[in-house]
Amino acid sequence: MLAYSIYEFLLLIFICLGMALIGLYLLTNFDKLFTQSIRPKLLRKNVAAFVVIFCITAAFLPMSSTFFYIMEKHGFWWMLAWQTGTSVLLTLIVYNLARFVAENRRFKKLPFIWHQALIILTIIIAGLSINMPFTYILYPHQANVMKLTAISSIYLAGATGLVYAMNRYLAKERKRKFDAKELELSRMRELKSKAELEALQSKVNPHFLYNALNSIADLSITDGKKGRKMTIALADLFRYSINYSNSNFATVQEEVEMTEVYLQIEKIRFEDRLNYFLDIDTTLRHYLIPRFLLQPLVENAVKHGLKATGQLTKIDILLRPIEKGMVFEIKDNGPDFPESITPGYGVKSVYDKLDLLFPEQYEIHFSNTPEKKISVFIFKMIKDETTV
Amino acid sequence: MKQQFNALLIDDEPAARRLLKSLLHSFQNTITIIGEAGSGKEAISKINTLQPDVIFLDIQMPDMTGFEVLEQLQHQPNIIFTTAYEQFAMKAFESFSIDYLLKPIKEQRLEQSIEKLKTFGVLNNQIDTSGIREFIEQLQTAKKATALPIRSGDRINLVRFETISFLEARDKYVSIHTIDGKKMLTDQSLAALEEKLPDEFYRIQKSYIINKDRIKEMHRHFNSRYLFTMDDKDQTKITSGRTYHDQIKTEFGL
Repeated sequence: MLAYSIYEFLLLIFICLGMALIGLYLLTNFDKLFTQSIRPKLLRKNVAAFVVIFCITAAFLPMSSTFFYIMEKHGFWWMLAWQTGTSVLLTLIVYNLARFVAENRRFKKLPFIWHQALIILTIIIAGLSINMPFTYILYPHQANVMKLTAISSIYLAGATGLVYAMNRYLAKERKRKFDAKELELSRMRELKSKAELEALQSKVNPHFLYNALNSIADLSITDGKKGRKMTIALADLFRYSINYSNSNFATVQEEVEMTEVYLQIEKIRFEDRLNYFLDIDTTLRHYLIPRFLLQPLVENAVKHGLKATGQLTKIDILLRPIEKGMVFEIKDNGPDFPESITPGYGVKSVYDKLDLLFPEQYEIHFSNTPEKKISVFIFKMIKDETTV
Repeated sequence: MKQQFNALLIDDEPAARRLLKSLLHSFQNTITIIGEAGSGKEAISKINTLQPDVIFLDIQMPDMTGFEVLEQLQHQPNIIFTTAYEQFAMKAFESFSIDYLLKPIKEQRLEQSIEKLKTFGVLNNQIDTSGIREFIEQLQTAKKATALPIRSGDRINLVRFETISFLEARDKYVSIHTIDGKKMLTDQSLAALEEKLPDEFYRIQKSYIINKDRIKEMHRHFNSRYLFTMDDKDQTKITSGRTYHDQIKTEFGL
């Protein structure tokens, strides 16, 4: 039989294991191979594929009887030549076929998993169709050998294909995660800068300011006391809007106080055609909400209640706790909300502030039944530590 | 020449009317106040019945704007607008050469308007109301529309235009896909939504509208279609409709 010693077998096994490791290592780094040394892409890829295929097929050589057969009959160099030759063929045909399937746009449109399965299938079929004729030349009419070769080729090609697909999957997953993160980041930046800018600017509608000043101009002559009251209220509101602390948050208490100041101004302007009622759960006083959250909503209620009808208007502002949060309700007795609402500038700014400070943790409802109201749900409680 | 003008004061704020009245007191020889109105509706009926020579008209009233009032008049008086509008809108008045008083009203400015009325006997009573209204509406919509309101029950979500990747019509619903891969349903039709969306949104197929600012790649596809890859989380791919081929070609300058 064979004239090899046990050491020679061990050496062979280690060489093969080494080849397998090198082959797998090169395969996982396939895209980076020879990027420095070989310029033309097609050539570079083919050379890389050749090295990988050579290593991997060499690793499995002892499993096929071909290795021993040629070694016995023609010696080591012929064996090497044979190995090189088949690797070249495998590279040229199997690799390029697989590459075609992998890169072709029409196949790329397939779902990822089908695409990878197709690539593996291509590798297996192409590998088989090369290995089988060669085996047939070496061992004509030996069904056993053919069967073995077929099995080992499928195994080899399948394994290579799987490593490739796995690698692709990991790369895709990594890219997807990276992209998602990047997208989220850029979206946040965009939203943050925009909303922040809007949250910091134009908190009191200038139109409102000029109208209030016009009223003061009259009151200063006709009703000094009212004029004084309104000037002070306007000063408070303006001071609050300048926001010295530069914070986007305010406590519920501050917000409610400022809303009341605003309502007082409106009440003076419209000579008691306005009534309002506040019902605020005092346990919520020290929790933080976006600065100028409430005022635009109340301004909206005044506009749609009082101003649209000119009648005596009643505005109710309620705040109560809910599970893991709180809800503001702003009601007015004006006409119903229209079927399709386009939130105006003020209400939109409320959305902006909540998007910035309570993203995905709020809801705004507009309802007409059983009563007309806007409800703002905030599902997060932030306590203001400085005032406690 | 001594002339007497009958005036009607129109403003939703009582204090504003009072102020104007006391300011006009110094022009008693020229202006006689014959009435006041606190809303657009009241103004229309009073102008038509009292037939004043001049009206002081507030532009922003709750039930309608001053321009809407003008469009419904049978009697055509001289008009002096009063407004608390911001700077940008004043440009509009000036370019349409309309007499206006800024709130809080200054005596000197009021005097100028009345002098003008005295000298010419008439003010700009041929106002291109639809023109100026369009002008102002344009200014306002440019400022306003940045998001699409989407209703689900009582809840209204605002979907900002820049976060929308594309809209897809399916059966009775339209789903709005955002760039972070979220999906919202609305029962508004794609055609109705198309009207509400700004110019960046472009229809590339019977059931698809895409955000042009969110196109990552576009390729020529077979059968005179185009393949768009969107710059969203899922890198969505959408093929255009065959009948849209020519429009897309011109739209994207291909």
